[in-house]
Amino acid sequence: MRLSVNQYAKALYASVKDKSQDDISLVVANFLKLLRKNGQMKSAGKIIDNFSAIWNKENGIVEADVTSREALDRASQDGIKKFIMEKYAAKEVIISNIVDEDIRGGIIIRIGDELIDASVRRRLADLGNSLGF
Amino acid sequence: MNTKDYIVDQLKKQLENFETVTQTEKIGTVVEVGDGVAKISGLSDAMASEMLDFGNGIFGVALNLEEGAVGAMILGSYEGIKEGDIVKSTGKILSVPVGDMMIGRVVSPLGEAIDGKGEIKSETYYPVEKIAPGVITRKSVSVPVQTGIKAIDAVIPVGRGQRELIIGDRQTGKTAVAVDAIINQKGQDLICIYVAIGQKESKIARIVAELEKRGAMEHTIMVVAGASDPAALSFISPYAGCAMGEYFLDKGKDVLIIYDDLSKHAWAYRQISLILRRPPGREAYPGDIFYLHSRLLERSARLNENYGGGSITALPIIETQAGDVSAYIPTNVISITDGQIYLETDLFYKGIRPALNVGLSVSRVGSAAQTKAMKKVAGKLRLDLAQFRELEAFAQFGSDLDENTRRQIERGRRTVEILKQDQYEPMAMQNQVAILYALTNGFLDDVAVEKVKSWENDFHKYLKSNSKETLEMIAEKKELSEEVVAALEKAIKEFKEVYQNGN
Repeated sequence: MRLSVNQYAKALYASVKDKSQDDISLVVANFLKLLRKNGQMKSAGKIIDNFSAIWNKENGIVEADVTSREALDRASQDGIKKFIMEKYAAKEVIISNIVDEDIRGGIIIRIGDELIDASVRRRLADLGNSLGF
Repeated sequence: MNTKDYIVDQLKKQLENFETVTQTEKIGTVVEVGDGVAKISGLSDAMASEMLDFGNGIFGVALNLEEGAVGAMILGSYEGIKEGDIVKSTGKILSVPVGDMMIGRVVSPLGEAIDGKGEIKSETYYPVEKIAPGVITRKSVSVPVQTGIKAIDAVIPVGRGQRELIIGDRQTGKTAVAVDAIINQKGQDLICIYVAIGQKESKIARIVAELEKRGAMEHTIMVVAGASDPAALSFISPYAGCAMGEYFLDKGKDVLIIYDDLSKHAWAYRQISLILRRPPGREAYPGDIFYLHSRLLERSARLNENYGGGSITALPIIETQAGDVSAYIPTNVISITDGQIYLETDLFYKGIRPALNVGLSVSRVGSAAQTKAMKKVAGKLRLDLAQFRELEAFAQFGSDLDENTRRQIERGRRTVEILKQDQYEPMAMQNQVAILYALTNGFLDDVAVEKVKSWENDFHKYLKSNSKETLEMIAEKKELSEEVVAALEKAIKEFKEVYQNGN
């Protein structure tokens, strides 16, 4: 039976969970051997992506892409972190800041397939629509 | 208050009332695009056949819901969409604007005007896909659709709420039959919707021009997916046309919809399905190709009085390849519809136009809707034709036949001649009854076959000028009572005298 990328990732997570550093390197080495035996080395990249998604989910880590007009300072980053922690009941928030002048102001937060658009560009578009342009 | 202040005031008010709400949206990213279909990862809350917003005014429809990805068809041009684009779900099922202002317009399957007569604004939207009316809401057909074509109204009558297939090879006059049916509804209570699916734009332009010339656009909506439009638009156009019809159905009105043609619709759906990697079946059509047409045609109905009493009559068109009616799509649609009008190339080139094969054409429920007058003359007509067909092979040995057979053959020839009718010349019911009465009662037996056509033309002219009350009587009573028959026979005899003297 061919295993899917997701199944590999889940299996890997289950075998490294609650393990010590040494055990983990052993598990990873064995896992790679298995991948090579099954001829699945080419999907290693996807397995890593899936694995980190599972790891984040299980450990309450949320990765957020935050778009703003200028680079965010510490204080606003902390504010956003706090907001996301409350909204998603996350233990840890990793923010990667994208600077885009086109949004004119405000921020856009993207987490997985959810998007919170609080940019000035969006508000202007909404205003335009409501006035019938 | 002067005007400037007024404007500024209004502007301020509008701005005051404006507020934006920031809310969480579900998004996905395009991972694959090609040939009008996109694969999108994410969009975990997308519904089946939900509208998806690709940005820049381009929308799509979710068709395949898979684990972690959504397969969607793109409505409109897909050149601007690239890998990595963000797609938002809208939470709306694909719908089209409907309403009275659609009448007289040429629109795209999404309800946008494409006739250059200005934007169509509508408050009401109907979903494109809708489950057909159920058993308790329906009623059997009882009122006829007058197509104005003698051969159809007499032999293959169509009732309101019926689905009658028009089938035939290319260039046999399928569209002509449908267009004549639309033209004949001028000044009557039937709203017509012509749905062009993958048709040549030049052909559509010709039809629109003809309908406009004859004042038939006043009760007609044209829904157009041209040959150059993406397959997705061809695919939704019949459903969109049907949704526009359902608006009038709900208002208790009668609607006639022409789907021209469903073979191209099946091709469009096959294309989308194959690109979405759904498994192909017979003739490479996907497994749900039957349901594709059955759910569309099932939406034609005649509702009973408790539900408004409206109706949707469907005239789907199927183009066969070299007369092959046993191909996949023709057999499917034949089995779904309540009968078929079968047009043949051979007849067309023999000069019998409309090239109707009366033997193979049937209407399974339409006779219940025929007017009494028509039923009476049509019964004899059918018999004459059937006998003629059996004897036709012997017709070449003219001299060796007994008197009775010869007479039947002669009658048959005249019947065929009378059933010929030029395009764009639909005939009123009362005129049809009059000429068919004259024919089936032997008044034309002494007219030479070549002269039958001109005899008929003069006869109608005569009735119009000298015997108007007879026509009115038929139109009003809709049955051949003794009184009507007497008046009709008198008119025919008078005309024959005039005609003979004239020659």
